[in-house]
Amino acid sequence: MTAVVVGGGLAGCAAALELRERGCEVMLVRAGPGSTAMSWGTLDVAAASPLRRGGLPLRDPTTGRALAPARRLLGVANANTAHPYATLLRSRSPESEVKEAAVALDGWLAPSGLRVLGSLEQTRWLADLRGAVRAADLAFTGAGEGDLASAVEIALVDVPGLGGFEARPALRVLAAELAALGLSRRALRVLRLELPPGLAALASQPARLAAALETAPARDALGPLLRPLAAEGRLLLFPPVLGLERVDRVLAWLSDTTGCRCAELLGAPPLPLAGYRLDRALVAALGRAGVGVRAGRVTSIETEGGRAVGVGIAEPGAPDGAPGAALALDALVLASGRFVGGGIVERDGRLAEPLLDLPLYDLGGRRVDGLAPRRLVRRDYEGEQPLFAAGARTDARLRPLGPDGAVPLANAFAAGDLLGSFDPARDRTGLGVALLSGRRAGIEAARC
Amino acid sequence: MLRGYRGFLRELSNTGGWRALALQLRVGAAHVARRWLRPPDGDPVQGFLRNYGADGFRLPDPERAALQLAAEACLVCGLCSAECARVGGAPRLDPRDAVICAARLEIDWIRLRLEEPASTSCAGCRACTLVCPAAIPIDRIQDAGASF
Repeated sequence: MTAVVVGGGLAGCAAALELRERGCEVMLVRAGPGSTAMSWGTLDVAAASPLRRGGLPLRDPTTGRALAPARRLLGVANANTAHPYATLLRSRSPESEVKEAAVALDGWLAPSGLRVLGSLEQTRWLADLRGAVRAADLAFTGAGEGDLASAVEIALVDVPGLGGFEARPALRVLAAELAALGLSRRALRVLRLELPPGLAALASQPARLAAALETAPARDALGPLLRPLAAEGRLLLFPPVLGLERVDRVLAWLSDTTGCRCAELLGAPPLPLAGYRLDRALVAALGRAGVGVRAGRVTSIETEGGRAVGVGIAEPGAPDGAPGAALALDALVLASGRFVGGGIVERDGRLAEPLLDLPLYDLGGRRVDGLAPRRLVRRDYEGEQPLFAAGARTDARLRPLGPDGAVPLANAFAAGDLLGSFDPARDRTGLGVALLSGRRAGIEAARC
Repeated sequence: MLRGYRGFLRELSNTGGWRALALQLRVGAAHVARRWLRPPDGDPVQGFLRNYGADGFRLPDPERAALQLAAEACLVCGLCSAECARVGGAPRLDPRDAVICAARLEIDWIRLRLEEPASTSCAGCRACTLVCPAAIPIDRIQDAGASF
């Protein structure tokens, strides 16, 4: 059996790897790294940002007790029956479902040095590079080691000249947020790390600094400057530039050198290395599993008698309308993402799903395809934005639904951000939907 | 305050911005003087080239305009920089610089040209272009900047 997966983010990779484990021949077509490569270094199945509007509640509204991430997950699945979690967790326990998914992901990523840390039992308090505190659950090696709750003293490491990170403003935000969350009885400080001359020249290019930290000469030069940062019980939080590919090795070296617990701050673009490493590790996992990866954009889906039978692919950089390649298939997984990935586009000024012309819905269940995107945004920074929740709906087996509510293609499955009725940024469901729906789509596709 | 100002100066000197700044001042002052001394006559296109050609200005060109439009889709995500660092591109090369310059005004193309060591050290491996989530033709922008 041959399966084609459209999209190379976490959802597409999870689907492809599950299909491969079930003995299918899998070809994954990806136009480039999607929004997975812009993620923050956490998996976030059901995280909370308690000091910001929107998102999941941190505490039980009736008892006032802190909610474990598993309870938040159940809450979101119960509150919105169209949420992908509601479909994915129907008649399943969230703990075991997420645990199974986390173990599978950990197995795929571990050879690249990325581990999945944490569980749904306990909230992991992580700081981002602006000092904001996030109530995360699962996180990857790098940021995942930086749990603020278990630290006696927290030190932000200021690297002068490094673009995108200012330690002092971040410390002020961190202090205020820790106090507001009742986690305040900790010493906080900024420690200055002057880079040696060879590395200081790279500070304006964080990716090059990260690559240099993986080499022995840079470590030899930096080692003596790191030792003064050490102190008993101190958590050293570095800006997210600790290695381009093997953050585990850079962290192990830092911990050996300083004798302290070391971690990265959460970071997103313009310091995207946490997401970049995740993307690299996923591509490496595809290669090890024997999944074929093809660079290109799927432009059309051929159908025959209610089944998808092939896809047309345009080579990267090819002009519109140029003849492309075609792939035959027995099962299709659409994990083409939302706006970054190109799963949902603006076509002639209207919102559309370009491959199957699927109907798109917002949070309230309103049809939004065919509407102009600007009509779906509100002038409220943290409020609900109908545009950001736009996406397709599926049946219980994750097959996308057509305009009449029926399944148009019996062997096509959808996963990841293409699924609508949730706003990953506002919900703080992060990559959780991508992982859970990607795996499920792969398992379902292998059955057909 | 002082630290921010020093950072600004360092940025200027690191990126060749001094020369770009000097060029902007020269053009700004020269423009007034030239109009005063030599009122426009004859073909305006020739007049433009005579006055500004020596400073590196060119007439608008559809190819370049298309590249500028493409560059405006940049999300500033930095994945091209990461990819360039991983494949071992030249030390001071940052594809994102070229894209950001291209998305700005035409004068920034001149800045690219002034920064020759970086823009001409691109090996043309296209790694940055393949990794770009916004599908910006970064390789063509680099070429255009280097050959300007």
